[in-house]
Amino acid sequence: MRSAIVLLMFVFIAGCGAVEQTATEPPLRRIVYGLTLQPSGIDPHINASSELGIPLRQVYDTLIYRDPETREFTAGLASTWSIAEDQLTYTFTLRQGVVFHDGTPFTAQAVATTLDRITNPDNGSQRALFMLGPYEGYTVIDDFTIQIQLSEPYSPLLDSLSQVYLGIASPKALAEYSRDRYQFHQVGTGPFRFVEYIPGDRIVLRRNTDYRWGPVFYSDSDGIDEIEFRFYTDAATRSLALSNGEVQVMGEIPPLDARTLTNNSAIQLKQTPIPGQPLQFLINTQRFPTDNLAIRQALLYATNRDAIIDSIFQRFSSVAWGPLSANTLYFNRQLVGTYEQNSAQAQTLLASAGYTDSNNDGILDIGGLDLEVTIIVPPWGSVPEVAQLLQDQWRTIGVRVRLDPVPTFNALRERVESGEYNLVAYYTFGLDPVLLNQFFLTGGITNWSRYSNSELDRLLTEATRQVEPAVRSSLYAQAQQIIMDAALLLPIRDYVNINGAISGLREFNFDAYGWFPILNGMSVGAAGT
Amino acid sequence: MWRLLLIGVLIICLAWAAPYDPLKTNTSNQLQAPSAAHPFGTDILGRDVLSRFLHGGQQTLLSASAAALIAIIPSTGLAFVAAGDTRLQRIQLLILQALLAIPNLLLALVILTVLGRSEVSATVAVGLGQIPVFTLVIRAAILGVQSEGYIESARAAGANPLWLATRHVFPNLIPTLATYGAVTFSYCLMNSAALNFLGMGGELGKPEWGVMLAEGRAVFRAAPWVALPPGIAITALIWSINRWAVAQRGFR
Repeated sequence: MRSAIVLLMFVFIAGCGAVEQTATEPPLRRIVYGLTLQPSGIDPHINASSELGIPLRQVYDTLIYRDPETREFTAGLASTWSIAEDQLTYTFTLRQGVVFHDGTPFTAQAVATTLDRITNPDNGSQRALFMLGPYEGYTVIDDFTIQIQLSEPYSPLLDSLSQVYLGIASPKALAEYSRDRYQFHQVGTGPFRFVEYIPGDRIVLRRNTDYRWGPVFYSDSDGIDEIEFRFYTDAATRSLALSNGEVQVMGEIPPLDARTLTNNSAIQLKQTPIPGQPLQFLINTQRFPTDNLAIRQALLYATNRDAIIDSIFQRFSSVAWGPLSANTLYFNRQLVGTYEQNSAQAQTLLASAGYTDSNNDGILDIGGLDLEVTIIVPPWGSVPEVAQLLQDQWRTIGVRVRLDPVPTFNALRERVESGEYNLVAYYTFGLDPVLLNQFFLTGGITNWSRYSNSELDRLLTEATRQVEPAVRSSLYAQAQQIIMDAALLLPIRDYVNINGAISGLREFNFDAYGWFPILNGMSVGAAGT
Repeated sequence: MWRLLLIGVLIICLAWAAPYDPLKTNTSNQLQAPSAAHPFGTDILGRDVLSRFLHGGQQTLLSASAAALIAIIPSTGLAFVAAGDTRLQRIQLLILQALLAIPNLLLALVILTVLGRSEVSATVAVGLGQIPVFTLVIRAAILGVQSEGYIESARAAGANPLWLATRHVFPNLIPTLATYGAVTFSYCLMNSAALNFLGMGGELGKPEWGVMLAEGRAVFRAAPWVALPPGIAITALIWSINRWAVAQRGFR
């Protein structure tokens, strides 16, 4: 009977919470920040989660930064840098007078130790290692000069070095704690020091009062002394936690709740577009019936993205047109307007592929085989709702959709490895289109379209070797065109993170990658001002 | 009892009277409050909640009934088989008590992991989860009947054990089977709704009361009418069944 109570209790709990309380200010200069995922680990050098970067961006400095306004690179722990003619050697001149939270002075040795840790195969880095590309090694020239060597040109290196995954850690702390223990005792040079991490419960940071070496766009204000991050994996609880004062900041508010909160003067909403990939379904080119280009294109034409965005995303997002969101570097604007919904076109394509409804069951068939596609559906990002709409939209042109829900990322990967799917919802974030490589290069680790095209391989590889923005832009434009001509994916919406905060919170800004807040300058004023 | 059964059959049959296709989405008509066209309103995808509620009721009640039968029939058999042999009885008791230590929803989740996710395996998992308790209840009832004087005398008169079981023991068990069977049905209803609520049931989006609760929970502040009908229905059914069972023989 206990399960009965658990199952039904939410009605009453939600009912009680529905009584709007005005957000109360914490007495201390302290805020509670709601995270939306519980990462399996929060070591930026080792783990891959995007969520970990939200707290840890405050703990670490990187060699360089990207200015959130201009997106240009700007000085961080490296005050200047230069790239050799052959593109293989990057020389960094480091800032002097920087001190880690544990008192260790910052020198070239700290950069070297961090690189050693990331590239040590025993540590099994899931993200940082890959961000280094064709990394070959480093040379410490003197205490404040270090060179990084590559085996071939790799222009996304600077972009990688400006992300928290390559944040510089204290060599003393790295020596003191083992690979697995370090995530609980992280030491950087950032505006906040790491206090504690209790998995599944909280991450606590406290202000680093010695901080004087932030990038130019960090403001000087020190409005907050302490930040406690808590996990709100259940999307239904997020707006409640924010409106009843449990948290002062909350990430990823569900669009429907955000719509309700727009009428609440105690709450401010911050919509941040996230560069990278849109919410997309990768289409398997190796399995019937999506091995046929005409079928893949028909599915794109049969999709009413406006209806999805209007209903599920409450118009907080815009339509996505290709493998990159519109605010990603080198987005190909030519793709805007392609594959606009056109049922007639979809039906023509299906008929030209030889499909008819020979048994009059409303589902098209060919040679006795029904036109049925299977979609792998993870639980995040409103994918279950989107998939149900696709199922209904495609039913009207005679396509049967089987939905295959998976509870976790590991389960998703397992299903993908089995090869028994036609579409799978998966996407990552980033500013540099180099993220396309793992998805579309022959043999790429997430090439889940199972596609191989030597021209596409050449374009994507060449684009990482080129430095000139105009050249890269043209290479990526061609690559995006090929990807969409071959209908390797169904883009749905550009990702927008709807963050909520109490309205008294000032200077609530995000970095160039959109996902990571800049909490250094944030301050808490009187609510409603 | 008959009234409850009638309500059950009615819910199952009413699915055919649903005004709309429970899967038909209409995004321009999302989250409509109850009205004449949609007496229970619409959900986030614009589907008619009343139609989903009726189809979901059929699905939920049928799978709970199937699960209850999966629990009741083998359990009764097990209890009778063991009743004939004290050594077998002791081994059975040991196993059942070990299984009893595991909460039955957890047991169902374990079975579901082995069988793989589907409507049928969810039903089987819920049913199997009830077997330990049900067997023990029937076993205790059999022991009670066996200690009656007339059984002793029949046995002394050299009655065939099979004849004893069918003619004397089984008829005396019918009240227990009926009341505890009804209670088992309510547990099955609860657990199968719970599994569906957790997303461990049948196909995504297919109407079921537990599924509807989960869908309604996500939009509860904007549209409470999605979660209320299945929530009230589950509560009311289980409450009525248990009240009936209590009235039968001061159960518990």
